[in-house]
Amino acid sequence: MVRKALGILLTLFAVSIIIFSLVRLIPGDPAAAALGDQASREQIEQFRREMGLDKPIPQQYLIFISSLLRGKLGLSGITFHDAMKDILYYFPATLELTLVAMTLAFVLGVLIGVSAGLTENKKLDGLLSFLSIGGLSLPTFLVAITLQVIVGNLFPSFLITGRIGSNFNIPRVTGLDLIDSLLAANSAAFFSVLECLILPASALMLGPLATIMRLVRANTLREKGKSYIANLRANGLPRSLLAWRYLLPNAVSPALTLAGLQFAELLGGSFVIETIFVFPGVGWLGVQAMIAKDVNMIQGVALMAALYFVLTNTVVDFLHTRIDPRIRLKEQ
Amino acid sequence: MAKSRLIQEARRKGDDWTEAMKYSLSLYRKDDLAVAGAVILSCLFFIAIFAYQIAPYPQDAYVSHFQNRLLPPSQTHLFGTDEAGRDLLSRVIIGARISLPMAFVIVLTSMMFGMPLGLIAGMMSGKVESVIMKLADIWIAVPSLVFALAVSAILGPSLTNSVIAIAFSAWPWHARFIRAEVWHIKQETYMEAAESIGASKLYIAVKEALPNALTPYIVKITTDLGYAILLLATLGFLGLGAQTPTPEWGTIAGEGRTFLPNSWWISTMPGIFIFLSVFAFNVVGDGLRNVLGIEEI
Repeated sequence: MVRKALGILLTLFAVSIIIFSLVRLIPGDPAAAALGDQASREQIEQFRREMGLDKPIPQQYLIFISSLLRGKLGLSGITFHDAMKDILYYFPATLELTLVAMTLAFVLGVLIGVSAGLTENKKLDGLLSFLSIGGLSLPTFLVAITLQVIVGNLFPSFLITGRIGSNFNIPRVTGLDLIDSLLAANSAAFFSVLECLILPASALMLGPLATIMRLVRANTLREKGKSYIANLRANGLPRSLLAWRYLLPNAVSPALTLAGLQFAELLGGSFVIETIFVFPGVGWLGVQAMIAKDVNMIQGVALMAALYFVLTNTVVDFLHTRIDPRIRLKEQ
Repeated sequence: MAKSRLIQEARRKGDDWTEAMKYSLSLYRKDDLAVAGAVILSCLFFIAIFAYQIAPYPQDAYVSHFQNRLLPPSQTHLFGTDEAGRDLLSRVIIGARISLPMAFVIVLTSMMFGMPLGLIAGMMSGKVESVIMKLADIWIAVPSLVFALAVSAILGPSLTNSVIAIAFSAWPWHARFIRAEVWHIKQETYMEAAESIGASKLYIAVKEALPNALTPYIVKITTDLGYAILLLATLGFLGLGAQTPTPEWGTIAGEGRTFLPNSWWISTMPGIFIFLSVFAFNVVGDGLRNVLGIEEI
C-alpha cells in the first residue's frame, strides 16, 4: 500500500520534471508570450524577474517544488491568484462531469457489448459494430455543437450552458453539485444540475462508450466459444443465466482496464466540451490559460491531469482486484 | 499471438509474397465495410491531390468577399459561405490538403521516435528496457490532448507547432506497442535459432522482429492516422492549432462557432469531413485487422 503511494508520488515528480522542462526549455519566451507584442523590453524583463524566469532552470525547479509542497503553483496571469487555488476550485466540476460520463460509457458499453456478442441477429450485430466505429470517429466538438444547437432549438428553455440554473444558489460542500444539491435537500436544483450535465456528458461519453463496447463484444465472442460454456449449455443452463453469471463478469474485467485508460480520453475531451458548453471546470480553465499563455496555470493543469490519470487508474486497479479474483491472486 | 495470417500465408506458399498479398486482398474485398472505407479514403486522397482543380472557387481558400457573407447552402455555393464570404465547399476541399498530409507527418514523426525506442527496449530488456518503458508510462500520464494543447500553446499556436506537439505526445504508444510485439516474437523458436547461429541482436531486430511486428503495426498506424486528424482538428477548433485563414477543417469549424446556430453550415461541414476521414481510416484498419488475422486490439 505504501509502496503504491510512493510509486504514484515518484511518477508525479517525474511528470512535473517533464512538464516543467518543456515549459521552460521550449523556444519562445513565456514572458514575452504572456505579455503580448505591445510590451516593451523593460516590461518583459520585469515580468521575467517577477516570475523568477531569469534564474537557472534547476533553481527554478527547486523553487517550484518547494512552493508546490506549500500548496502554491505560482501566480496565474489570468486570474491573478495562485493557480492552485483556481484549479482546486474548478476541479470538482470536471470530476463530476467525467465520472458521470465514464459511468454511462462503462455501463452502457458493457451491456451493449455483451448483447452484441450474444445476439444471433447478424444484422443487429453489424449495425452495432458500424455505429460503434462511427461513435469513435465522431469529433467531440461536432457532437457537442450539434447537440447544443438541436436541443437548444427544439427546447428553448433547456439549459445548454453552465452547471446549474442561474436562479439556484447551493452551498458548496463537496463541490460536486449533484451531491451538494441533495445535501441542501433542493430537488429542483438537483434536476437542474442533471439538466446541465446531460448534454455535455452524452457528448463526452460517446468515444469511450464505443471503444468499451467493441472490446466487450470481442471478448464476449471469444468467451462464447470456450468449452466451459458449451458444457454449461449442455447441462441445461438457460441462456439468460449464462449471460449474467458467466459472460458478463468475464467481460467486465478487461473493460475495467480499458476504462482506466479511457479516463485520459475523457479528461482531454472535457477541455473541448467544457469550452463549448461553458461548463466551469478545469478543462475550460485550461483552454483559457492556454489561449492566454499563462505558463503557471498551464503547468498546473497539466500536472493536475497527470494526477487525475494516476489516481483514477489506481482506483480502477483497486476495483479490478476486488472484482476479479484472478488478478488478486496473481498479485499475491 | 502476433503471427499474422499474411505471414503465415506467405510462409505456406513458400515465401511467395505476391500470392499471400493476393489472398489477403480477396479476403479484404469480401468485407463490405472495409471496402467502403477504402473507397472513401481513395476519394479523399483524390480530392486532396486535385483540390485546386476540383474546388469551384479555389482562390477562396484565402481571399475574402465580404459582400457574400454567411450565405446559406445554395446552387452557387453548395456548402454556403463563411463569415468572410468565402465558399465553404472550396475551403473544405482545400482543407483536405492540410489535414490528410499532416496526419501522415504526425504519425511518421511519432514512429521515428517511438519505433526505435520500442525496438531497443524489446531487444535489450533489462535496465534499458525499464528506463524506456518507465519514461513512456510517465509520458502517457498526461492525456495526449492536454499535452498537445500545452505544448502548442507554449510554442505558439500554428499548424507546424500543433503537428510537432501531437507527434511529441504520441511516441510512447508506438514504443509500447513495438516493445510488446518484440516480446511476443522473442518467445518464438526461430529467434532462438537465429541467436544460436551467431546472429547479432541488431540483425535479429531488423530482419526477424521488425517484419513480424510490422503487420499489427500497420493496423495501429491506420487508427493512429484517424486519431491524428481528430487531434489536429480539435486543436484547430480551440484556436490552438492552425490559425486563420489557414483552411484546416478544425480551424474552419472553430471560426464558425460564433455564428451558431444560424449559420450552422460553417462548423458542421468541415466536421462531417473530419468524421468521414476518421471513419474511413478506422474501418480500413478494422478490415486489415480481420484480413491479416490479428487478434490483439
